[in-house]
Amino acid sequence: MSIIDNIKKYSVESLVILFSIILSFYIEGRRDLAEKNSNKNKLITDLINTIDEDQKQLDYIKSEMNRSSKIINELQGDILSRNKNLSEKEVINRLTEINIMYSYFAQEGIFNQLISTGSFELIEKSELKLLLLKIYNHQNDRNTSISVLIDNFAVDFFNQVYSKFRINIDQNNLEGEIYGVKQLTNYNFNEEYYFSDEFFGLLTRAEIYVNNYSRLISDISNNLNQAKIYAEYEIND
Amino acid sequence: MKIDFSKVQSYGIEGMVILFSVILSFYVEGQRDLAEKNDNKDKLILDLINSIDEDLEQIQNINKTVSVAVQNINDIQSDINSDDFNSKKSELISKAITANVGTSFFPQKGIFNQLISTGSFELIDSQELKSILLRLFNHQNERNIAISTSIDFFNIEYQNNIYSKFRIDTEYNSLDGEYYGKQVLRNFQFDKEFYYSNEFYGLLSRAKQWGNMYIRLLNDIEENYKQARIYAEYEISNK
Repeated sequence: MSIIDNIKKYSVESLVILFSIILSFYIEGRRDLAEKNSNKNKLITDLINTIDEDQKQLDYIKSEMNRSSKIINELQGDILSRNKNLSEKEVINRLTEINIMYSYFAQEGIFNQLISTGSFELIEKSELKLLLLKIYNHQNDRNTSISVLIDNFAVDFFNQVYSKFRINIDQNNLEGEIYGVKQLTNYNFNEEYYFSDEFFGLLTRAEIYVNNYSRLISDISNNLNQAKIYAEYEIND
Repeated sequence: MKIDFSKVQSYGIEGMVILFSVILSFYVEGQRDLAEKNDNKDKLILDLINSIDEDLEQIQNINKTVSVAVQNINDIQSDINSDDFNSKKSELISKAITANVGTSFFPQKGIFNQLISTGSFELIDSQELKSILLRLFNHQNERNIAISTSIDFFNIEYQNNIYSKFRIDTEYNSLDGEYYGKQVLRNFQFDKEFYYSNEFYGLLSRAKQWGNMYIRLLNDIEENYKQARIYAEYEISNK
């Protein structure tokens, strides 16, 4: 064989090897991408499930907030009317039923997994990406922040209420969605404090926190609904 | 055993050809992989620009809310300083309840976290963009959390004082307001002694101080966001 024939032979061999390896890398790349997309779709499906769970939690917190707001309005109405529509026991019962410190805790594990595995970038719908960032970054941090604030206020609120009215309660931990149910056992009604500016202001502040929190969790709930629609579209498309 | 040098030469050359082909194919694959990572990095930068736009909108909303709060505090302090006993106190109490300096900014840091966790951050060419992103999402983010927490604690004390001393009752408009709805004054009892006291004046000054500090921080963050956006656009257009 001449040198030129050898060069031709080795060139062809080289090209065949090069082509084969590049082709195998290409096929592996496509397989890898398909697997990543499949994982992304699985994560989106899991995300839809956690959105459903979060909505249940939000609905419960919303109902507790609405109930607390109603109780506060009832108590302030009673104080303003001065004719005491409510009996002393009814007042104390209502006070112990106020649940301003119930917070919503988002299940952000799937979102964190989307971010840390890079699957977030494979989401095609930019509206879904922006909405998820808003829910799990901005609104989640805002929720945490206001929840801590309300918790701090609630410590002050219950400290005032329980000490001024010398309230004693039993706790039934078998009932209730999250923390059990309180049952009033004893109290001393402090009429002077009940009609004081201090107590009235305390109730107004409690209502403000309840309203602020209700508004925030309504916004989060609406965004989760919208995210679920986008997520379903993402995996069906 | 007799060594056939022509075969050794032939196998040697074939071996070299295979080795060269494999190394070349790894090189080609490496280049393709790098191009793909750069492509992903550019997609992330594009998403980062979108989230920066969202954050800028949020900053402007918060800035406006806190600026209105500071203006309301100034109005109340001016009224106290003027000793004008005939001024309309309901307007001033309305201003006191809307002088809320405790509305905080929360950045959307998900894309930055993804840049870090996927290793794409290191592919950013612009050193200025990397530095400014670290400053925004680490340093200034932590500073923002720290000052927001302090303001929140102060806000509990502020509201505790004004709602109790003036026996304030409010209505709530959940449709108004950017994040939390809006309080509307329904009823109050004007406590003149407290209104003109050093305690209330000092409380207002502290609220104003927190508000101004937060506005300053927001302005710095806003400037950095705008600068980061310019660097980010340059990063994806400069290929």
